[in-house]
Formats: sequence, structure tokens, C-alpha cells
Amino acid sequence: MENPPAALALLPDDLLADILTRLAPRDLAMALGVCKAWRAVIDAHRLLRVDLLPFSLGGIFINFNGQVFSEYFFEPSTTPAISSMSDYVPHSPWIWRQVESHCNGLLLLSENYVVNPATRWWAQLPTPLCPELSNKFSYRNYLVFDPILSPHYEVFSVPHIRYHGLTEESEWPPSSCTLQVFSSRTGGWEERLFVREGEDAEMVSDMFLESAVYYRRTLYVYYSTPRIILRISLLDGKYRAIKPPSDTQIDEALALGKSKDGVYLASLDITVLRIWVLRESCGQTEWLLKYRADLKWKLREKLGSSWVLQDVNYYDKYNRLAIRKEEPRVKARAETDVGPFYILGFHPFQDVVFLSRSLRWGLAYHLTSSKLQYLGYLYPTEYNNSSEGEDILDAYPYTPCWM
Amino acid sequence: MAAPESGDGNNGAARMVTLISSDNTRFEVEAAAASLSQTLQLTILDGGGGGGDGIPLPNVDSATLSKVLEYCIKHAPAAANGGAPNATAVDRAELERFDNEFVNIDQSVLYSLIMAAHNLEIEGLQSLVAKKVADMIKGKSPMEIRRTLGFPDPTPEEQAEMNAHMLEYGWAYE
Repeated sequence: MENPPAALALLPDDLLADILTRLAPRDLAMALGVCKAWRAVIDAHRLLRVDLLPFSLGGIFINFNGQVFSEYFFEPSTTPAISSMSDYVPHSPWIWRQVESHCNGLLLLSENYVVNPATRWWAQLPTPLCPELSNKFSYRNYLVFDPILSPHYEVFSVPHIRYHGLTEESEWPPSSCTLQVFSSRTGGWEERLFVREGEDAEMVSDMFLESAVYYRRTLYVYYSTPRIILRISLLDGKYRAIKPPSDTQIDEALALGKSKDGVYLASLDITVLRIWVLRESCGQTEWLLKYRADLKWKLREKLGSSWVLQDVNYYDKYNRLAIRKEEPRVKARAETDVGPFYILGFHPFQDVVFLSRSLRWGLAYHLTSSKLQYLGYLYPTEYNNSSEGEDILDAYPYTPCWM
Repeated sequence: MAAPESGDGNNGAARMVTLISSDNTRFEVEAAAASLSQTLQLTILDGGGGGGDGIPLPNVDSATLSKVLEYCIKHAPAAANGGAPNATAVDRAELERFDNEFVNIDQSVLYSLIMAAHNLEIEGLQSLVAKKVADMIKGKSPMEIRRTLGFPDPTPEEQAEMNAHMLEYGWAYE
């Protein structure tokens, strides 16, 4: 008997659905384009749920110094509410549960709690193996979660501070480095070898890790000392050091993030905002200055003010029936419309940078229209933290994932 | 081989049944192996397939049936142990190696297996072949999927739809 020319193309709908249901969202999206019949099967069985994917901005998690929980700053009228962390994550008054890493809707909290605020799912990771360099470094953990490709996540443990006292210099980044990686697929930590390529390393006696961002199967890790961005490719196990833009000062604070066109870097020198985009092609990288503006002269759009702070710390400490005091806020507006700007992060899908001013106001700066828009008041209720000093430590624009 | 005294415990020597393919070939096989098929299990429990009778399978040809039975014979001992909770890692690795090898086959055979596994309701085989086809689709563009699975070249109209799809689902192409 002659073989049918297109055997697998002729599968009955229910058997095709049984095959397609095993695919990740990215592959389902591809399958939609194969032919009308396949699209009909995927639609009929609702196999691809784009609405559950982290394709929209929910709000911003903000770590205030001295607070137990990260605060959530969001716009209640346009984004779905998420539960207060205090409702579902194990905690106690003296243990912080602040966000240490965010990736596509998953959060990593202190003490290695992995949390999905949209679904209220959480898990605590086992203790990592004793890392090979543990006598020299402390480590920071970063989440890698790409639900378009897989429901599993990984946590990368990256060398952070080189302890003082060990005064001999060493090569950084080294020619090869073994990182501890947790995989939710296996439920355990494993060692993964990364090999350096590209430019030679520097001799360093100190290092400090600031932040990391995941973009297209690559983890970008920003060190302020020595000033490099480590580009760790998860596809081929190679890493390399990328220098920051050459016209940035050695002590200039930089913010690394992900936005519309990929990996961004921002610097804020008092009121002068500069933004670069990382261009990569054929193993070469280059920072392109995308934007430069002095915020002092920018038009203020007073509209809005519709964003609010969840105030989880206040409600957790007192009780959830407590009535907020609105009065001091209104008064605060005039007094606090001055003072330093702080970069909260990048809008993941639009040319917008989120800022705070004087720890009181959240602002959105629209790069294309050069408009500075007030989002709302973000100073936590009764946050007069005199002992530790009030400050924003980190902020994470958050994209909810509902799967 | 089957362990007569353990397991379900009511049979002595392994009971055999006869299956007859659509092209009239007779296959004699242990009842335990044939019972991986939910469809056959009922008939066999009713005492069918023994002696000279045989169970006719008008939807499955002999080439496909012999392939199906190869799978069933290999998986029957583990299935008899209730999904093999006490199987050793070596046993599991051996079954996995067998499975990988088993589906490394021509597409037309794979297609026949999918249909047979469905008709005979062999759960493990159904998911094995479905997973194989899913793996063939993974990481490919719509055009590559079409080529891999033997679709004819797209008509101009289909090509236009594929281009529109590319714009709509740009995130999948990143």
C-alpha cells in the first residue's frame, strides 16, 4: 500500500488536540499559523490562553527600607487587584518578605520564597549546595521564568560581594564559572558551567552586584563594582562582560531594565535622564543613546493620580478595617513636589520610565511625548521609619502571569 | 516473563489470546499484554479471544498490530505491577530507552500507530505517540511545521494568512 503523502496532516481533530495540548504557548502560537483547521482546533479547545501570559503591566513592587513586605503600587481602575502578600505568604513580624527578583510574573522573596501573586501560589526553595567559591563570595539569586516556553522556572545564584579581608586580586569574570542553579523541573539545585568569551577580564579585589534582568534566553547581571554587565547566555552556556556606555561617570548610578526594544540602561544625574538600548548582532554589543532630557523643564501633566499603594505593611500591622487618613496626603502634595527623582523602572512594553519624587509621588515619564505624568501618592501610611531611615531600596515593574 | 503466583494471583500459566488483523493475520499474545488495550480488556475478561476464536480488529492492519503488540509486550510487566512503584531505576531507564527507540519511525507508521492506539485505547501508547508528534512540532515556524508533517505547499491565500499570523503573533517569533 502506498503511504499517504500527508499522513500526519490528516489527523482527526480530537487526536490533533491531544497532541497540541502538550505544547508550550510559543509553539501553540506557531501551530495557529499552520492552517485553518489547526487554528479551529486550537480555538475550539481554548489551548492557547494569551490572556494568562505576562503581556501587560500590573503595577510596581517597591521595597521600602525597614518594611516587612514589598509594597504594591498600581492603578485599581485598569489593572486586576492582586492579594496582599501578607494574606498567603508565610511570614512573621521580624522577617522581611521583600522582592529580590521578578521575572514574567514570578517573584523571588527573601529566604528563597518563589511567589506568583496573581494565583497566590508559592513555594520555598531548598537550601542551595555549598558553592565552590563560598569562602570568597556572598550570592544573590535571580529568577528565570519564561512561561511562553515552559511552565518551569530556574533560579540562578550569582556571586555578589567579594568579602573584604581577602585582599589578593582575582580575575573577574573568570575564564569559566560554575553557577548553582535551581530547576523547578527537577526540584533541586545543580551546578552549571559557563565559559567566558569576548573581552578579557579585569583584576578586581571587590565587587558589588546591583540587579539582573532576563531577556530572550539571556540573563543580564549588572555589577556596579567593577562596572560591568555580565551577559549570561542560557542557550549556549557562555558569558561575557559588557562595559557600560563610555560616557557614563564611574560613580554614576545606573538602572538596568527590560522594555519595548530589549535591554535598557538609564542614568539619572540629578534631573538629567539618559537612556540607552543594548544593540546586539553577531556577538557584538553596543549601547545606543536612545534618549536624553532634563526633567526639570518637562511639562507636568497633573491629570491622573489614579494609582494607589496597597499599603500592605500598614494593614498587616494594625488591622484591615483601619481607616486611612487622607488629610495629610493632600497637604503633602505641595511640600513634596520638589526633591530628588528616583528611577523605579521601565515600563515593560512602552517607552515609559517610572520615577518617584521625594519618596512621595510616583511618576511616569513618557519618552515619546516628553511628558511627566503624576500617577499617584506612594508614600506608605505611617512610614516614619526614623530608626532605619526612609528610602526606596528597589522597585520591580510587575507583569502578572495567571497560569 | 510474567510471574504467575504474584500480581492478580488468579491465573496459573500465562493465558494466551488471539488477535486477528484487518488483513487476516493471526497474532497469539499473552492476555496480560493485550489487556493494556482498554477495548480488548473487556472482551478478554468476558473470556473472548481464547481457543480457536480470536478477536477480529478490522481497523488495524498486520504491520501496525505487530508494532502495537511489541509495545504491549514490553510494557505489560510494569503495568501488572500497578504502574511499577517498585520498579528499579534500571527498569525505568530501559523502558524509556525502548520508548524513544520505538517512536523513531516513519511518519506513516506513526500515523497508523496514533490511530490504532486511539481505537484500542492504549493509554501509554497514546501519550507516547502524541508526545512524539508534539516534539516534532516544537521550536518550528508554521512553514517548518507544514514541511515536517507533510502538508502540501501553501496556496497564495494560505501564504497571505501565514504572513498575517506572523504579524499578529510576533512575540512567538522572538
